Formats: sequence, structure tokens, C-alpha cells
Amino acid sequence: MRAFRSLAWLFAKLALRDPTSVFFSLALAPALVVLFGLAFRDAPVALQNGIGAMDHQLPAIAAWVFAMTGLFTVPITVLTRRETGTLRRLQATPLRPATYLAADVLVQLTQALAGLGLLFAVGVIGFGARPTGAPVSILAAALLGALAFLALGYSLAAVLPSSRSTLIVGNLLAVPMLFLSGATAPLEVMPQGVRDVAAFNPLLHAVTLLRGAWNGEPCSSLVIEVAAVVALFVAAALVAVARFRWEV
Amino acid sequence: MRSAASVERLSKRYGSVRAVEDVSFTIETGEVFGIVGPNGAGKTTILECIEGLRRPDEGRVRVLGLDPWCERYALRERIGVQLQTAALPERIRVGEAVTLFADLYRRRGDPEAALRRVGLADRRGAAVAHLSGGQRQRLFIALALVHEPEVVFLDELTTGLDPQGRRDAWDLVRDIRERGATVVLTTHFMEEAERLCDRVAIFDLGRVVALDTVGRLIASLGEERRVAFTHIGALDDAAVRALPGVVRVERLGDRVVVSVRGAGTAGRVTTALEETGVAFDDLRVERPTLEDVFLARTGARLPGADAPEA
Repeated sequence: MRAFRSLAWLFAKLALRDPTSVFFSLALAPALVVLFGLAFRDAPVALQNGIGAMDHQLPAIAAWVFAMTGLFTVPITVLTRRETGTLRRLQATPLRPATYLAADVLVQLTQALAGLGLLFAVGVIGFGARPTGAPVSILAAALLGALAFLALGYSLAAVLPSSRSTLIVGNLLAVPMLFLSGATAPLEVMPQGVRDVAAFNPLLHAVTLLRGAWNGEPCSSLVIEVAAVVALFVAAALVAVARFRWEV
Repeated sequence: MRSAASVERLSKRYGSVRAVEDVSFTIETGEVFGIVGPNGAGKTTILECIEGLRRPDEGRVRVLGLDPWCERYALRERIGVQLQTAALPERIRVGEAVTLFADLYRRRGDPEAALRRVGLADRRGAAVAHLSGGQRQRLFIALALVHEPEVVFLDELTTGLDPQGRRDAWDLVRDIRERGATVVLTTHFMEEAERLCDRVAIFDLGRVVALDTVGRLIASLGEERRVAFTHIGALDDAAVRALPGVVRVERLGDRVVVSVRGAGTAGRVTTALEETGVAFDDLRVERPTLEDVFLARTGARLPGADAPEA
């Protein structure tokens, strides 16, 4: 337990010292909200039953930030530590892999949720976003989405050979995931074939789940989304734990 | 005295490459044990098998009575490790690193004392990335010592250090030994092994080619001495080789090294050289070193030595 606390506390301090990490986890998403808010104000979206543009887009940006964390921040952090020999040095101590992973996940999760809090605060205070869903549901949906994409990040880190390959694989995954998520262009205007493919996109389900929770949709109408995000979490976490490696 | 570690018939392959082949030795409690040899001799592999970082293909290893692979967590509580290639998380500071490592062990040592011991107490707040090579290596020693381990493993401790850094590191090794811990170190500097180690295992191509105390290894070469000098003008190698007691003559450009055997031979050779009328300079008589043992046991020759053996 002492090892876990010490490691988590250290990783938190190191994350705050890293300008890139602070920018991507805490500053980027609120900045996107500001840009989006200035462009659209709170005009109602015609396609979405009169939900305000900000209430429509805010949860999507949140899910998108989780995806970026999972596709880039986590694998690059883990792989850099593996490539430099940081993990090897830790391996030579009694530290268990599970303790290391738990401390690292806790810090990444806290960082992701802090970024989410800022994002929502900017949307609500600055641009009149008004969640109609229960705070508990919103938090639960956010937690689930964050955990699923963090797990994806650790599974990529476990499987990919180097931090360079992360950039390639991350981009290859990020572009279609984003395009087919409903966070950029509405899927409703796309051909059926594209929508069939999009059904396998975890980011689409995370976006729909967060949007639903934010806008007060009943849980019963989000069963598929919850199942899809949980499935991503379970599959990715299994890969991450089974394939964890201290060294290159 | 109970031994600190034992290795029996250990072998390790990487694909088709045999890194370590049928190696056996014992490390006694409280000694400084050197694993020496050229790069690629299998030194790091054998060390990592003893530390429990690698699983041997064959053979039996015991450290402090434990199997380093199957009982690795129990063992790691009691050993301290400095790796040849290691790093710390980016942006970490000296004090943070040593505190973190203290916290990873059940027996939490004193991080401050560890920093004082390696002379880094005043660099506590410095970023690890800003340390000099020598300071960085001392920090890694502090990380290996913070929990007061019973056996300390040091892999290529002084590679890349300047002379002062190397001397500081040597002092630390002697300090560890004086406090009663067993030290196992690898090095490709024979001088370092000669100065630090009680016993030395010389490795070549994955096998032990010699194992004994430094003194006995050197004595095993017999009463060999080397007469080294730089000559000015022509010198007939064959005439030198023909002098009584001369074992071999080697040349490094103008520098000639005459290996001789037998009491008083060095003096007689020097006199004989003077009588030939060849002017020479920078004459030195050297006793053999661990390097000579290494060269004799591995059949290797000094780089650039182009003279055939007598």
C-alpha cells in the first residue's frame, strides 16, 4: 500500500510538471469548447429534438478527449517508460505489475476526470450548457467512458512495440473513430453502409452514452451503449494485464 | 561461511545465440565478486539470471537460499540492483527518486541517509536529468542501497564515467563491502576488477575461463615481468628474442614489450639491451596485471600488437 501511494503521488506530480500532458488533459478540451461555443452559441440543433448545440456537443468533446488520452497519451507515456528502461529499473524492486498499473491508472483517470470537470464548467458557465440528466448518471457515464479508453491505452501499450508505432496506430485509429463517432458529422446523414461500420466504433457508443446521460435519456434507452463501452473496457483490460511487459 | 549465491550449470540462449554456456560458481557472503570479460562475454546475462530478471534455460541458481525466478519478490526485498541500462521517469528529482524507491521495499530504509552516503544530499531538489554522469550513477547506487540489501549487484558501474567519477564509484563499492553486504559486479575494466574484487570470474564467449582471487590469478602467470621501452634507431627483434629468459616480444609501433620469466631476468635483459647500443627511452619494468591473465586465458591479443609470439 505504501508503494502504491508513493508511486501514485509521484506520478501525479510528474504529470503536472509535464506541459504536454497538462495541455492535452486539462487545457485542450476547454479550449475546444470555447471555440465551438463562440462559433455556434447555444443555437438549437434541428436534427436533435431541439437540444441546444452546446448540450449536444459538450458530451461528445468529453468522449473525444477520453479517446485521445487512450490512443495517444497513455501508450506514449507507458512505452516511453519501457523504452528508456524506467520500467526495467522498477522491475528490479519488489514492485508488482498490478500495483504499478493501479497507481498509473489512478493518476491518468484523475487527470481525465479533472479535464472533464473543466470542460463541463466552461460549457455550463461560459456558454449556457444545461444538463438535464441526473449528476450521478453523468458521472457514471463519464467514469465508464474514461476507464474504457484508458484500458484501450494500456492494451495498446502492451501490444505495440515502440512509442513511434503508437503515433502511427493512434492516428490510423483516431481518424475513422472520430469521423464515425457522431461527434463531428451527424451519422444520420450518412449512407447505411457507413452507419453499419460505425456500429463497431466504441467512440460512437461513448459519445451516445455521454450525450444521453447529459440530456437525461432513460438508462433503458442506452443499454447497447453501456454494453459496448463495458465490452471495450473488459477486452482492453484483459489484454493490458495479460500482455504487460516491463521491458522491450 | 555460508555462500550468498550459487550458480550450477547455468545456460541461457537468445534464439540460436548461446549467451551463457554451462557456468557454475559460488559467491561467498561478504566478498566482492567480479564477473569480468569483454563486451558480449555474457556478463550481464549471467547477472540478470542471478537477480531474477531473466529465466535461465538450464541450471540451478540460488541467492540467499531463494530461487531468483520463482521467489523473485521475496528475493528482491533483500537485494539491491544497479542495471547497466536504466532510467527514471521524466522530470523526477533526486530526492523524489530515492524516496520512491525506499517506499517500494517492505524494510523502508532512510532516503536521506542513502543520499548522504553517495554524496548527493545537497542535490536533493535537482532534476535527475540535470545530473552529471557521475552524479547520476551515484544516484542509481543510492537507489540500490536505500533498503540496506544483503547482496548488491552492480552492472558496468563505471562505464562512461570520467576518472574522478570512477574513483568515487570505487570508494562506494569499498564502503558497501565494509558495511558487510556482498557485492557482485560486472566490468570490462580489468584494472577496476583488480582494485575492487576479492575474487574474479573471467568470462569469455559465455563460459568461465578462470576463477580465483586476483592475487592467485596473477601468480598463475608465473614470475612473468614485462620490460617495455620505446627504441630510437634499429632494433633486431630476433636478437632480443634470443636473450635468455625472454618469453615473447610484442611491438606497438615504436613501443616494444618484452615478456620475461625467471628471477633477475628483467635486469639482465635491460643490461643486454644497453650493450646492443640501441638508444631507448621510457623504460619500464611491469609486473603482470589481471589484464595479462585475461589475455593469457582467452588467447586474445592486445589490439594493434602485430608481432608474432616468440
